[in-house]
Amino acid sequence: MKKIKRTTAMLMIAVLLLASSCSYIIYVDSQRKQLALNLENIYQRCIIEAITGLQNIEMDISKLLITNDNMAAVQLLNGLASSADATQTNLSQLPLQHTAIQNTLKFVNQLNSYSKFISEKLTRNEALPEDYKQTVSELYQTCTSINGEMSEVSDEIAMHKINVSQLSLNLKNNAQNAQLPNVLGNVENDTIKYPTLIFDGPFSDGQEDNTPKTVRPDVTNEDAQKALEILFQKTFASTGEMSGDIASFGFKYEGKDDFAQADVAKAGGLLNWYLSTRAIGDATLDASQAQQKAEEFSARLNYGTTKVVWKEQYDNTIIFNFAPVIDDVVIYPDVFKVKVALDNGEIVGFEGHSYIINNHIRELPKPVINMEDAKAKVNKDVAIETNRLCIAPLDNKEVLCWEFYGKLNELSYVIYISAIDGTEQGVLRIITTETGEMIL
Amino acid sequence: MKKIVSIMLIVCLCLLYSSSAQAIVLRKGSNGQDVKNVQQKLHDLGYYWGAIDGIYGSQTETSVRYFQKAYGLTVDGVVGPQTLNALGLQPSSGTTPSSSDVYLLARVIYGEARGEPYVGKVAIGAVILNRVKSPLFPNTIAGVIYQPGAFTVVSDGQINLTPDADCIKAARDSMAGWDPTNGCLFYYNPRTATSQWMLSKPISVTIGNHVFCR
Repeated sequence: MKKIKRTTAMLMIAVLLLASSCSYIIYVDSQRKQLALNLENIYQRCIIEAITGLQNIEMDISKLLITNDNMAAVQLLNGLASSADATQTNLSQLPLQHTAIQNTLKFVNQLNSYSKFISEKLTRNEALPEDYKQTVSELYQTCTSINGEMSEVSDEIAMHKINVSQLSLNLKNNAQNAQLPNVLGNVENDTIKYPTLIFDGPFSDGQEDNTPKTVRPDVTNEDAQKALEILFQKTFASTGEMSGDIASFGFKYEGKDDFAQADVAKAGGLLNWYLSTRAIGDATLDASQAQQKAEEFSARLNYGTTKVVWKEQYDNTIIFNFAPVIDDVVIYPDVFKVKVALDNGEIVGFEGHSYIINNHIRELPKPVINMEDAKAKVNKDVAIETNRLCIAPLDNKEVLCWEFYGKLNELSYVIYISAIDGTEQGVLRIITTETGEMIL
Repeated sequence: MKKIVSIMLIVCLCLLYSSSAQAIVLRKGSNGQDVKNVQQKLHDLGYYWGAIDGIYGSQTETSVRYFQKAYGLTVDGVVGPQTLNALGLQPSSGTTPSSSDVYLLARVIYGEARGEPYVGKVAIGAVILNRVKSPLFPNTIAGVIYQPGAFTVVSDGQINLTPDADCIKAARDSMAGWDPTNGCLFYYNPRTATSQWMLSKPISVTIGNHVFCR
């Protein structure tokens, strides 16, 4: 009897264990399925919104081709910009090879930026680019071909034949060179012609060609090294050459508990960047002492008259932004940065990419609008504290502007009014934090 | 011609970000009015005795941990939406919008390049920011980082590790405009890379174990 009882008990425990582990597996599996479904649903929404977004874009461009009214065109362009932006967001969330969608991404990004550019021109009653009509019809052609290729995808999506989350597994397992197993990977092919878009805005074609505006004679590696050593009073070793926006010579410095790297542009031997990785101790200098160090360094660069236009503080360092000043006009495109360590005043960083790219001999225009007239264009409620003339980099052009610092409802702003035509070119917000000021 | 002075870059990035509401997260290294509010509240509740100075240091972190433990929250010393809610606080509108970008960037840098030289860390941040500026990629920092398959550390979850101070510093330097890659959009480790497409690209510069190309 006892033995039977024990066997029954053992059996019951075994059954119980089996049942509980089974139900646990079922529970975990149902959770997994639910998560997979949630993910798939997000992907489905992305892909459907991307498809309808592209269809809306095609529709709106076709209307843009025919409309004869500026206000209607502006509305269409604004709609296009936001559809393009949403489509970009949705497309870039799909688990596809970057190479499989990069041309479509570029198309919608450029369309977004170009639409804003044209919309602004129309709103300001400015002349449109000569090739505007031609460009719009090319954009239409491109969009139609993309949608043509997309139609197969949209059919399969409609019939729920594509499991997008499966693609994300393929993407991970096959790393870079995975072939997409279905139509999604074939949307981009050679039959689609993408127009070349050159305009004043972000994402314009030709921006990749970011080479210095001034042709400066090349220096030798030795000359570059010598200049660097004089500037920093340290002995550097060559690390080779690098290509890119600014073809450069690389150098490094290895001290006792200090390591630094620098790139010097071949053209002109100008310092491209410098970074020291020394651990920085507690601050012993205040901001004005640090600024003095930065100004001494800036003077050694021989970049003419420069002044600190902005500063930012973090990790016991202050970064001073310098801009050249010519005839009392601040040249913002040529800004460069000097980073000062607050423990001993050493220059621990320099960034001169913008200076090397943008610096050139400029014919500074005379302001057409005087300061008082420009000030009158600023919102009347703003309490203006300071003003100065500057060259502001706006998208792909430089504009002579009056720059006003002012406050409204306790918030600080910088307002830019064109000194040529009096239009408001931009507004920045300044936020003061414990670590300095931030421009937004 | 790309004529983006770093001021303008910061402006663009911040404009992109200010348009989307972001969940506020405070952690060691954060500062500002929100931190002050948290400190004041923790002080009122008897969890914090330090200065109400708006600087999230070790003392604030310890207090947050005590509070989280007492309220049955995940004890991580980080003030996220749940902890903020438990404290009965709403985020103020005047916070530094880009501090969360810096932290996100630092997390990727930590995952991708924690064993790399400092300049190599700044370079990873620079590549991400170069992608934000390129029409071939998404237009926000989070968009670029979370583009499926773009970064190994995102795919395998390493992005969720806590970055060290060096990586946060590198993220800040790249945000401030330092670009040791000279405008590169891609990088790989030549010892582990398998993509023929990637390997076929001309190399701009080698930093540590990474090769950078455009």
